[in-house]
Order: sequence, then C-alpha cells, then structure tokens
Amino acid sequence: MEPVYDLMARLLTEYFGVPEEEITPDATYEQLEIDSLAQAEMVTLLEDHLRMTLDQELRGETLGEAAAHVERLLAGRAGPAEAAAGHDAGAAGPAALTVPTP
Amino acid sequence: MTVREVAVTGIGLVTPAGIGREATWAGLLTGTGLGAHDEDLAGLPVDFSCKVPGFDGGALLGRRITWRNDRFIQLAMVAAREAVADAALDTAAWDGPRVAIVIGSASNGGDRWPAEYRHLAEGRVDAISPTALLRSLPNMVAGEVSTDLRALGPCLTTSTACASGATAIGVARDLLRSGACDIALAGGTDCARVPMGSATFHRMQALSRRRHDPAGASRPFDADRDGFVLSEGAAVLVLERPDSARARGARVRGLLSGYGASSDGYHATRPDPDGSGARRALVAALSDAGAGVSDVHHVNAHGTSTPLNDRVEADVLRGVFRSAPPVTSLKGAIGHSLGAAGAVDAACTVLSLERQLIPPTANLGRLDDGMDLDVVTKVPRRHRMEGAISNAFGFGGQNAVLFFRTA
Repeated sequence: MEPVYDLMARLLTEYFGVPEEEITPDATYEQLEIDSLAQAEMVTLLEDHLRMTLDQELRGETLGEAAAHVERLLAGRAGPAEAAAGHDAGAAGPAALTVPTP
Repeated sequence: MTVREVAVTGIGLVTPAGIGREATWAGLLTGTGLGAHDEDLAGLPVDFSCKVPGFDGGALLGRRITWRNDRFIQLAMVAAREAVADAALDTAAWDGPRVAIVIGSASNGGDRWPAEYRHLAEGRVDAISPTALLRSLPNMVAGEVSTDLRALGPCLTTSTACASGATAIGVARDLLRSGACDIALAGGTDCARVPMGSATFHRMQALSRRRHDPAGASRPFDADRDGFVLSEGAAVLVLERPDSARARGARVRGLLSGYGASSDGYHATRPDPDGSGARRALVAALSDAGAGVSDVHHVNAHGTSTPLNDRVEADVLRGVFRSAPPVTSLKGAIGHSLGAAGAVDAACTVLSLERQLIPPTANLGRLDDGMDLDVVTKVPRRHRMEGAISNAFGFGGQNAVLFFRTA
C-alpha cells in the first residue's frame, strides 16, 4: 500500500495546489499554507482513501509527524481510531487514489 | 454635481460560447446553438445543457483557490480577473477600500451536495467535507473575488433569480452614485447545469425537452419553442464614474445610463400576462436615464425560449415602442445561465454598442405568430445605435432593466 506520507504529498499537490518542491517531511502546515479548514479537508480525504476514521485534525506540527501518526493508527497500535463503521471490512484496502477535481 | 451615469471600463466573460470576452463575442456572432448532451445530466429526462467548453478552474486560477470553491465561484473569479485586466487596473496599486463588489447569483453551488447528502443519509457526518457549505454559498462569490483582487469596499450579493446579474449592476451603479466607492466590479454567475437543477426545472415544465436536438432546443421567440436550456457562465463589468475613468486615461467601452427595477407581485414562476411589471422596469430605466423610447436603438431581450416569457416580453416591447428596434436574445446560442444571464446580456449589450453590431438569435426559424418584432437572426447585423436596453426578468416576478449608451 502507498505510504501515508506519499499519499498526503500527492493530495497536497493535486488537490490543494501546493508546489511539489515545497513538500518535505519537515514542512509545517503553516509553511505549506494549509490552514485549519484545509487540514480538516485533508482529514476527510485521508479517511476516504484509507477507509478509516481519524481524529478531526492532523496531529503534530509537520507533514512527517502527521503521516507517522496516521501510519500508527493504520497499524492499529495507537489512538482512539478504529476501522470506520459502515465500510466493508472485507474490502481489499483503499481503491486507487483518485483526487476529485476541485 | 450628481453623477447620472457610470462608465463601463472593463468586461470579463465566461460563457458556453467561450472563455473570455472576445471568445464569447466571436462565438455569439456565429449564431450557433450550443446545447449538447451533458454527461453530468446523464439519465435524466433533460440530459442536455450549454456548458462552458474546457473550463479548468484549477489551471486558470490555481488549485490553492479552486479546492475550496464550487464551479460557479470559479467562473466568476475568472471573469472578474479578465474585467480588471481589461480596465487596465492594477489591483496591487488601487485603493482597495474604495473598490466595491456586487455579484448576483440565482442559486448557489452544488457540486458536492449529492455526495454530502449520501454521507448524511448513511449517518457518516465525519465524512462530510468541512467546505461543503462554504464552497457553495452565494455570498462567497463576492467574498472570494474580494480576497483575490484586494477589493475591500462594500461587498454585496444580489439574488433576484434570473435578474440577479442585472440587479447587481444596477446596485453597483447606485453605490458609485452615492459615493460609497470609486470603482465597482459588478456581475453575475451561476452553474445551473447540475442534476437537481435539471430535475427540478424539468418538474416545473420550464425546460425544453428536445433531446433529439439539443443544439436547436433553445429557440427564443420561435413558434416551436418549448422551454429554456440550462447553462452556466459568469460576467463581470468594471464600473467607474466617467470623470475619474477619463482622468486615469481608461478606455470607456460604454455608459450605464439607466437602471429600472420592479416586481410583478403576481406568481412564483409565471410573468404577469399583462407585462405590467416588466414594462414598469423598462420605463423606469429610461426615466432614470432621462431618455425616451426613441433613444433605444437595440433591445437585448431576456428571451428565455419559454412560451410565456417570450410572449409577454414581445407584447411589452411592442407596447412600449411604436416600432421595436432590432431585438436579439443570446439564450438561443448559450442557453439560460440564471443568475449570470442578466450580466452576460448587459456585457454583450455594451459590446454591441461599442462595435455597432448585434449578434443573431440562434435557432429562430419562424417568429411566433403576432410577435411583430424585428429579431436579428442567422447573421450579425451592422446597426447604427447610441442607446440599448438589456432586459432581465426573474422568477418571483423580479425584474431589472439596464439602459446603456455609447461612450
């Protein structure tokens, strides 16, 4: 499965229009101009692609920290999140990433 | 001295005839109906519309803007940028608090609603986008344009159904007259070609059902017309007081001399059959301009292609003018963009005056019996004119008429 960091980087570029060269694991949301509204949208997109429930906001200060947190949740080793009710537990992971056209 | 009229110094257009003022104008001059099957409406009883060709908001505006805005906002932002560029205004240098925005919209966005309502029905509130409402609010058009162009004066939204865009231009003129601003960006936008729009207007029996001939479905004043065709688009005009426009060396494309508004107070969707509301708006626009019927040399009609509107409008024109000047309706070519239509029509009326050329009404094969109008058809008409009116009549009986003069 695609690493969460790569997925987030792709969403930042393709959906939020952040230039690829600005995206690094150490980049903060502020540096990326990802405000609270965009963060909430990012969470919604991640939940959709990963078929899981996340916290309402991204954790940590940087992209790398946020991705690591989601990876831990995915591995089922941290946080309050569990597989989202309503999703087919038998589904073979997320479908190929398709970014809705803004 | 009271400012009686205002200058139009910039025009931006995004329509099914093309992206941009000149692309739209060139498309309209061909007299071609642009209705076509619409994938977004597949499976519906009315599955065709007039769509802006190749509009990619992300490419034109950048995804940093478009991710949070529905299409109707994007259309307006592109038109606003073009209008400001056309007026040769520098948004970095202008006095932002003295720049007003008034943009009309008849409905709102709705790009995401089907998916969001599914989430709601499934009880998955957390799956609903935090932008679902924000991206679709009618006032966010003016808000986003304000942010994009640093226009920091009065920032308003008008909603008078199909007259919204014309109403916005009239209100903006009033703001200039009152001294509340020095520059006003005024216009309208809508993306009406959405599934629920098609379904509900179809249920209202307002849409053409010519699925076998989408390109010929919008037929203003034609004997065989059977309803309008959903469309989308945006138009923005830059308005300034003539003295300040000339002082900065601006090119003045035309003058907005009169604005008249009225309400039928008759029915939610049907115009008053005696045309009294539309007539009062028209007479008020002329009176506002200090003009008479002989000063009107062209009429850009509302001309939706619905049986009732076109009949009543033709009666009004015949009643007001002894011999109605050449008439055209752009909706034959580009359909009905609801809240954008009044602004698109106004913009093209200014271009007609500037270029002394009237675009033809597409799809008019046989003028309906008893209409007795001189409708321009098939090819553009070269015509000497100094004054022209642009009509816009909305559901709810809300009417707006604008009177323009050559600069």
